[in-house]
Amino acid sequence: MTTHLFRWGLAGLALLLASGLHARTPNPIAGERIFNAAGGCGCHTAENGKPLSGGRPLKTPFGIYFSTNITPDPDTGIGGWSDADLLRAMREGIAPDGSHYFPVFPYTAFSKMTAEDVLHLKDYLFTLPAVQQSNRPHDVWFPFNLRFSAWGWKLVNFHPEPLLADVTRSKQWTRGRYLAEAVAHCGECHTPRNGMGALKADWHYAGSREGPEGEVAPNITPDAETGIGQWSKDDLTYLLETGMLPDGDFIGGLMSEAVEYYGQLPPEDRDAIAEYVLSLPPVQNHVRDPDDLNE
Amino acid sequence: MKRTILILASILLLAPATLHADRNADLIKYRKAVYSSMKGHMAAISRILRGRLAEYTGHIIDHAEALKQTARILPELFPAGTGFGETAVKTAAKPEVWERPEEFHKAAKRLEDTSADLAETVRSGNVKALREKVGAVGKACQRCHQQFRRKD
Repeated sequence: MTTHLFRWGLAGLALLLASGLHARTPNPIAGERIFNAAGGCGCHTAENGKPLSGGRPLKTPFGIYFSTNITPDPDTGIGGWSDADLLRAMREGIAPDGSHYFPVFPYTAFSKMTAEDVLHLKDYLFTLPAVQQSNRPHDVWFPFNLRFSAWGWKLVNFHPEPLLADVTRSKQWTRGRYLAEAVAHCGECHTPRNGMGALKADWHYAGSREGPEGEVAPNITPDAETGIGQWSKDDLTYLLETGMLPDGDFIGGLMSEAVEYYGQLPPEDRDAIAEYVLSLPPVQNHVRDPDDLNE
Repeated sequence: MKRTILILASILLLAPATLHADRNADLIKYRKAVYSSMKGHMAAISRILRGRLAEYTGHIIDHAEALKQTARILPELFPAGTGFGETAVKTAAKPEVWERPEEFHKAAKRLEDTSADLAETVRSGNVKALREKVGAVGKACQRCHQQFRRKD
């Protein structure tokens, strides 16, 4: 009798698991948290454009790329995308039509995201208003205008590796690393790039003079002289919440757009990011005179 | 003789222009000092707010009032001739300050209003709303920077 019950129980469990694989329950609330940690996917919103409908010019040394429409519009956005489509795009840099994305779309970072979080993000994006707006072709020079050049780039530069557990670190640090590296993609602006446009691993978060939109992205390693080594953890969490620097100044540029969303994260996520960033190895790299911005 | 007159004449003609540029350079320096003072008040407010200095909460009124008063004089600090490259002193002010003066004045007014609102909130003892009100002042700073301050 007991065996019988046990067997049926097992069969039921298997059925439950199998059905769970096919129809997952959307979780837009968890997705919104990921969306906020990703800085509201702000590159997909153009100045004076409708949110997330793309068309924002992203200037790079290879030309100007235009971000894409990620609203749930079925024709021009991602409304027709399956779970597998978004997973492949975010983690492998491959579009639903099989073509390769240029690394201006930071799948290099998103490849470290969990599948669950990518799908939650999709659930959230699908709750937002659909905008019909076709993607604008990129304006980049030869040979970067050829899609297979993205394939070649990936062959050389894209070797996705998951974030490995580090037992010597706290849970908070691990969460912070995940948010900073996989979701918030801090390094995409704060790490300088080499001639191929790939991030220089030894200069992790050490700042870049060629940041987004022609701006300087400051050194955010804890170097006392050229980075944020003098900051307390509280200084950093306060910046992530409000956009205010320890001296009372306010950040500008793309970061100020991202902070609008970091500010909506649960405080423990901002704390975790701060914990991780301040634990990084300091890199001495002078990218900007602090006195340059005094008005 | 002719040459002396020529030299004297050119000095007389050029001097006002040079003096004017010097004056504008001074003005930019003054402007920077004013902005630094606002920065100081914001830093002070945040120290009270996030630290363990609850007994100084009343001081936020003073800092907010100072910000409000300063916001009122901001539009006067950007006369023509004080843009980037117009004097020997560097400035982060974008040409938009002069191209879209109404919007710039509106941005300054936003700082004035949010600061007044912050002072009022502390006066009424509504400590719960404090973080949000300080945030609104911050947004006023930030939005103006996005529009009118060059970042390089």
